[in-house]
Amino acid sequence: MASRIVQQQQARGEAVVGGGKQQKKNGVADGRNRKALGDIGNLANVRGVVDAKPNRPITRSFGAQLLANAQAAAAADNSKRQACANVAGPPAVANEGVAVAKRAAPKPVSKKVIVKPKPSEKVTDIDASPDKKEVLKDKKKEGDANPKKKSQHTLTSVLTARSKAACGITNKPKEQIIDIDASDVDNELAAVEYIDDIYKFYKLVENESGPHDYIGSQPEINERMRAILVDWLIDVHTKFELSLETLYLTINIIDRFLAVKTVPRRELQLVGISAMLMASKYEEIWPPEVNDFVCLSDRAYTHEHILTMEKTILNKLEWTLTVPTPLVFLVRFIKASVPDQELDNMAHFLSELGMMNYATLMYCPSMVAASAVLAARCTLNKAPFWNETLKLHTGYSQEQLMDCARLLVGFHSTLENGKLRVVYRKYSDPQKGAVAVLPPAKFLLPEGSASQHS
Amino acid sequence: MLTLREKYYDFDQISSKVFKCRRDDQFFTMKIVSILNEENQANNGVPYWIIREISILKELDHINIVRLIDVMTDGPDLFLVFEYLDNEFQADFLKNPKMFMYPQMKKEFLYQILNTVAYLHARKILLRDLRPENILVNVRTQVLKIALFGAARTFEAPLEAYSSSVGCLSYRSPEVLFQFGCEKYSTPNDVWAVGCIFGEMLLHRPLFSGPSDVELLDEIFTLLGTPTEETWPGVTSICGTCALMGPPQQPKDLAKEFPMLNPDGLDLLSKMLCLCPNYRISAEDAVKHPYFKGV
Repeated sequence: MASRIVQQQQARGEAVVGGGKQQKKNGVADGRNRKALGDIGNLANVRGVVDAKPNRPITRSFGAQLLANAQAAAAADNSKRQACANVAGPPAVANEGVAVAKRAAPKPVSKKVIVKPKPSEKVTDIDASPDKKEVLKDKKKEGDANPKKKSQHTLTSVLTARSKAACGITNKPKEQIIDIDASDVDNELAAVEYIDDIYKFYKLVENESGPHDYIGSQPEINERMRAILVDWLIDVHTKFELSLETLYLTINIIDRFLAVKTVPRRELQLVGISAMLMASKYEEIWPPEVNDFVCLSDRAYTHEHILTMEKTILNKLEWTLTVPTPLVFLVRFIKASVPDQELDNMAHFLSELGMMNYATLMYCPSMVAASAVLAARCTLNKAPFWNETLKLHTGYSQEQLMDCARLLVGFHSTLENGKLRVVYRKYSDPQKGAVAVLPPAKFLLPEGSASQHS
Repeated sequence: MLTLREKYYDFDQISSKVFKCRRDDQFFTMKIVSILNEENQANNGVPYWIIREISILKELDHINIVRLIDVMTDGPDLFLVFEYLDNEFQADFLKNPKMFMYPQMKKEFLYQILNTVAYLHARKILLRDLRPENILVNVRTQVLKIALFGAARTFEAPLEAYSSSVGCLSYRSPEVLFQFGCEKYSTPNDVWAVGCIFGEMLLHRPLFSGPSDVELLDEIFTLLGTPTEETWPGVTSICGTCALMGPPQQPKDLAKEFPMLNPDGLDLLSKMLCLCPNYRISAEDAVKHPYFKGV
């Protein structure tokens, strides 16, 4: 059986396995192991659970125990949906007998993973490198006394097969995974050589820069006020014709700042303006000037107010603006969805709706992005709603995304009657495919829940 | 919160805006940056290049990148505290006469530069202004450090249009000089700069040194030949009638231009100085090139 690491899903706030700073810096002093990007220092070796064949005879009781364990694991996997997967990259997909059209990825530095044995088992060293899936062979198979024995369909074997099928642990042939970068191999602007490493790295660090639940610690600010601010900033962003990166970074800065500093209500708009100024400087070629923001605020804040707040925010956030926002994942996941323009617009629309609503902060950026793609596919009735290509590139199953996707669809379903209509107006424009006016995927919502999201 | 003087002491001036200072038993280099403009006004607050440089440096942890330790503000000034590099680290590393003592040293330094560029690209960072003046070298320990990230920026894939007036002219790639594809350029731009530095290491002079875009392109085409549809697909449709192209020229034999290089070295140099950015070798692949066998 091929060995593979099972990368555990992890909720925001938990410690990152192997995600800390490297103990030893790579480079000259380290003897330069130049295996692909191994010495570039952007690969985290994740220690995980390993599937390994037991080295003991499979007696009836042990077989029953294995089956029970497999059923429990499958049931847990189906029911468990955690808020964030903080893994080094998309999980490995077993493709037995399926030709996967995928670029050869650089080999990560292999790391030995030791499976702790039960008293009666031997210790097996498994090379965890995904490129070296070695078959574990025992020199002596104690249970194979008579290998030529004809297999018989006993009642036990039939029941076992049925229960495996019920638990979803049969070896069904996997669907073809599309190489979404194949068409960009000769396009240097797509940065194909680095794309996998970039997203592995972003998956690894996305929780470090994410804001935590902060509204409870803000005495003068509530979710509604935040939504009003974001609604206004989206309008400003559109008027200035700024990049989407600037918008997403602006909201990220605001949320991270509000998570570490108590802000009076009268200064909330000032925080928003200053955050957009900083994000523009970081992302744009020609950022707007401070005076533009002074005029925008109807002179509620002076030039000095904005510059002082800019410095305050930078110091509080320790100048950390190089962060993964939902947008960096969204563009990749949309590409994995092999989209048309309508799907592209719909995913962006739902993602911006999510950005407006405080409730989505409980999910990490990659999950919000993946959920926006899932919700968009459901809204536009793109069957199948989720597939192996999306699962590979997002690192999430459809089941894991359902809660967040329902949330986004809920926002969509109440938008038309809501007071904050900037996003609705923006995406009702024919240039954006008028996706906002399309009916939401209400079949995703539980009965009578549409009114909850107002 | 500690003030600057409470946190750091024993200030020793190195240059007009750079000081050596101490905290506990460790030395640091402190760089003072004013956010005021020429008219002594902070019209637009913290300049964009400072925001980018600090934010990018905060995320990096690599032996070949000068480490940013701390950032402090005091009135209109910013104080950037970096790891201390002793006197053995010489700026503008190609002007160091000891640099050329051993051929193996050049290979060692080139490897370190490429390794660092690959690390940055894998973190969505374009350097955009890689040149010898921004590279510090300790000849004794043979450790190299890249400094000054003022022109660096993060990128999204596929890339957007970024400013085309970046980087020192001599190390600018043809696609940037052409403003090829509406000011869109990517990671190959940095690899071109490394190729120019490699050539400079070997020749002991800048590989290309034209004073303007047109003259620089002419120098590039004199050495590497004028691009054609075969060597750079799409170049004629965009720059076919462009005055920048000049009269057609054949590429020179790099083996004659760089007699000191073995076949592997020539292969790597030609791949780094490939005119077409799509066909140019990536830093990640360059690090694995046979030329570095034994490094």
